[in-house]
Amino acid sequence: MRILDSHCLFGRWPKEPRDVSLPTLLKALTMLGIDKGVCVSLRGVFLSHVEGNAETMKVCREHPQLVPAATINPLGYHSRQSLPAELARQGFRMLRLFPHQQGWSAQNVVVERILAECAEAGLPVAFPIGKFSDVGSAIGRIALKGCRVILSDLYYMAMTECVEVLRRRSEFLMEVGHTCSPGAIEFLCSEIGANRLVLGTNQPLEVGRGAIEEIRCADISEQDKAAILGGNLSALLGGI
Amino acid sequence: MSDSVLSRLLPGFEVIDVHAHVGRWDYPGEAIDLDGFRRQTDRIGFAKVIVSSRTALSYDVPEGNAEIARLAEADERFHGSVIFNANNYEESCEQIERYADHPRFVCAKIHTCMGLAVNAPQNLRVMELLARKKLPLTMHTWTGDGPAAADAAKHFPDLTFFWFHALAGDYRKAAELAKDLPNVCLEFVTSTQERGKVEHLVQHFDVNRIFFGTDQSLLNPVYALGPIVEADISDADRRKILSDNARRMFRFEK
Repeated sequence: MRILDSHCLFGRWPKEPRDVSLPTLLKALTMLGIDKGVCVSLRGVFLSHVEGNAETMKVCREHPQLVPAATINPLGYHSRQSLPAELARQGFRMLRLFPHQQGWSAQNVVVERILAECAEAGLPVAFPIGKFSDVGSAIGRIALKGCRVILSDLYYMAMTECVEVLRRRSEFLMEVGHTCSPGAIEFLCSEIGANRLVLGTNQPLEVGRGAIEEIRCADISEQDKAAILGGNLSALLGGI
Repeated sequence: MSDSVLSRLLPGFEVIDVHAHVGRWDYPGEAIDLDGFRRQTDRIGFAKVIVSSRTALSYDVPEGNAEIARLAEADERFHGSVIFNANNYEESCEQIERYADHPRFVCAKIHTCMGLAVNAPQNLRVMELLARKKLPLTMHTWTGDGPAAADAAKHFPDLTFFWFHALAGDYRKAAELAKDLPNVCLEFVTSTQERGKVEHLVQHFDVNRIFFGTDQSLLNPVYALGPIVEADISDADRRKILSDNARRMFRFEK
């Protein structure tokens, strides 16, 4: 069963003494049996999305187990050109956003613009939800029809809200990784369908093993497990 | 055991879960009642589980503790943790008196969801009784709770404290603070599973005072196993964390 991880990072983590270097990411993917990881350079998160995206693309060309995801910091996105269209042309397969690290929210109109441009460019967007906020609802309201959003990094507290968002937005998907209450995987398969769930483990910041085993041990079909562990993400990104 | 989750993830290791709950949470997923808890324990393969009540934690202390007594009396794998809410001193003392000498209860528990800091005067007052009863106290400790938790531990040097969640995002601080407090033990479960946390605690704290807990039925115990399965530590240390320390602390016979 192929395992594809939608949520990987590499670079430096300035806030704490954490090893999130590229070698650590590659080692973690191997240890966990993850075939491919969709990754973003943290240079693009903490320094400059222009520099970071260039680094991500370079690294992914050198390491076939990595798939490039771009990022854009809305605080620095003032060009009148569509950057998502350019990123898609360059070969990026996804856009991942980082509001918590960069200090902005889904209320920022630039975010609405980015989501619209991603919809036009056919570039899926991973947007972090977190624990207690109504971010999922906000994204559900502002994303243009056809914008394929992965509600990412969402915890069990935000599951009910995000399930409702996915009921209203058939093109949205949900990342499982922190949806770690007992029976959560079975619940999500029943309520929104296994075909709308993708694995995301936040490698190498987090351990990841529990998230994978939770899916393997879930009381769902082998076909659904394969879809969540990798099939759905591959289909979303046009085959990886 | 042979078909359990543990037999695949941690073959040859016994596991004692010192941090578990029975009851319903307001999140999607399976509501774990007493029968469900037994089935889940069968499926995972834990040798022993120390359980407190979600009902007691959030609403009715006597009703919840009584539920735990029924569970623990009916199945030798389960041991009780008596919850008290120090907003009600008389009830807290009555519950501790009732369960401290109960053969199936091995510790007490408080949670900051009751609106009191762990070192609030109301909690310290009840801790005097726990210290007299020599009943270890487990408590929810989260990011920012370090000074209050350390203060409580210093008030009662003869009372054993378990800092559940090991101060969450402040786990490095937990190791630093608790290192010089010999009456403090750490349990490290959180839904955010930072890579390197277990290794850090083993390296910078005392492995004889680190315990394994899952926070089931809030969290999926399979998920909670991830960090200890992946931790880059010796099997001897893994064994201490998973069961040896708990057997020693709670006098569980083999």
